[in-house]
Amino acid sequence: MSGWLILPALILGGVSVALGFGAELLVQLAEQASASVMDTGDYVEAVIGR
Amino acid sequence: MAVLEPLLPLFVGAPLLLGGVLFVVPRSHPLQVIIGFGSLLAVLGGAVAVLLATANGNVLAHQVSLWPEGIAIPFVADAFSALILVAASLVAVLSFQYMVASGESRSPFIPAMVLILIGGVSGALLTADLFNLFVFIEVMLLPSYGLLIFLSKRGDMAGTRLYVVVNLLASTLFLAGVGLIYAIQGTVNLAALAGAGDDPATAIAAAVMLAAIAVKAAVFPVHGWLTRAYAVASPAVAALFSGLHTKVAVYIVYRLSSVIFEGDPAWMTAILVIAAITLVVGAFAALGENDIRSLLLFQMVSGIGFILIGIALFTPDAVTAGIVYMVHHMVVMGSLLLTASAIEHTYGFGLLYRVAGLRTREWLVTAAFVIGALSLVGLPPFSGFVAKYALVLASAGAGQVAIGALLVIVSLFVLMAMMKIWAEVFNGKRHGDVELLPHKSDCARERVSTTPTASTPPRSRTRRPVPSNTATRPGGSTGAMETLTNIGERE
Repeated sequence: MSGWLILPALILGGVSVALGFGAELLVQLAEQASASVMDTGDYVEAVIGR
Repeated sequence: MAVLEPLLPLFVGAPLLLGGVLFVVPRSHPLQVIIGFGSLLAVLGGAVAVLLATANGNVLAHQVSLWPEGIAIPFVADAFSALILVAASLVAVLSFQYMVASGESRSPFIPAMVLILIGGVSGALLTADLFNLFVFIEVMLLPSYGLLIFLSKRGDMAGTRLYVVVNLLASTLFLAGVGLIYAIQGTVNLAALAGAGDDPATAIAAAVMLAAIAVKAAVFPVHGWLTRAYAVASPAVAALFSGLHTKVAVYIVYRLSSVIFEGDPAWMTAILVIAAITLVVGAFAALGENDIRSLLLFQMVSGIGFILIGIALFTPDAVTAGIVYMVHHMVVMGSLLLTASAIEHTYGFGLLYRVAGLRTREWLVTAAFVIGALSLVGLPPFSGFVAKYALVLASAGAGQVAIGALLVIVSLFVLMAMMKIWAEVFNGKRHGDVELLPHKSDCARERVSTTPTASTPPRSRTRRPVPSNTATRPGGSTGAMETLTNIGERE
């Protein structure tokens, strides 16, 4: 099998490993994302200014 | 930050423009691939830049052409939309790379349709207007129809028809919900609708939209279309759609639930029940499948349930865990489906037992599968462990211990499903004597002797006609499955 065929899957697998070892970064980003989901005040203010 | 705000519409405009250009430029494949790759990488780079700008809580917003609110198309990026956009564009880049490697990108207009698709995805993630959300969903769907038609497996149009009909009906339902919202509230600006779910009429209208999105997200009981439609798609298209379509739908569920319903416990309970059933049904159904792709597609359905648990519990920890799971699921399902794609491209479509013993001759594929499978199950040190651990802890923290226990139990069934693939595809006995032959597209093509083995399952002796248009696979190679099918039938 050509290595080019399996390369994308391997890269995504590598990303999964990286996210596992570097979970703190992902969780920090997700916490920030979660904050914008839980409190929509900043979102509303940015769109309609109130 | 101020520099990035006016650039937000480019996430939609640039891919659409370049996609349009690719439709009319001379059919130079290298040029199409270069433009396609360049555009997708630019979207990925831009998404990373937006994520960096919003990672500290900033919200970027831009009214197109600086028209006043209510007239302009509002584009908004916060950490949530930016994170999902990064993951989606990464999956798109790698799926496109697979399409190039497998020769699928040589089919007419494929690079153009992938660019238009990512333009629609970007728009759906970044818009703050419900009608424009509907438009961007349609922009996503139109090239998707083309991708399914051009790259459908074995010329099977039934799954494609199902996909088109289901999505058209869901889009119509969504538009009806948007119309109702406008009739009741006089606006479809999502920010202006913050907290509007307190009004019963608005809540019902929003529920109509959520129902339509649930169809697109393949949530129980409207999940059946996904496993049928994606099963006949090109494997790379299935991987692309898994990272884009269903996840965009789940993103919309998160956004509508938080902005319009503000986590109303009654609605969140309804989502919780549906999510729990979805993850159980997907995991159980996968065990009954005998085809790599179908098995993975039911895992995709189950994963949607996992993600929705996060928003349904509506606590900061649960939403964080749900978002982590969403990113993890986009990455890992993409990896597993692209692994299945590589196997199908080389050995042909088909049942698990037909492709066996890969462990001994395809170590790269084996490595890719093991990483993806262990991550999907939720074992350390992979992203799945982090996502599931966070989700179980959040469930317990929200007082939903039963949900936490359910997540663990379902993970065991995911493990069983992955072991089934491992046992039959990677570790199983090979059916007959498989000889790999060099292939003109640098892939392999197999020839199978008809030596029966004791482990050979019984098969139908009825000869089925193979459609004439199935002899040629994308990229000009002859499908090995047809060879296998014909040999099997001759036996």
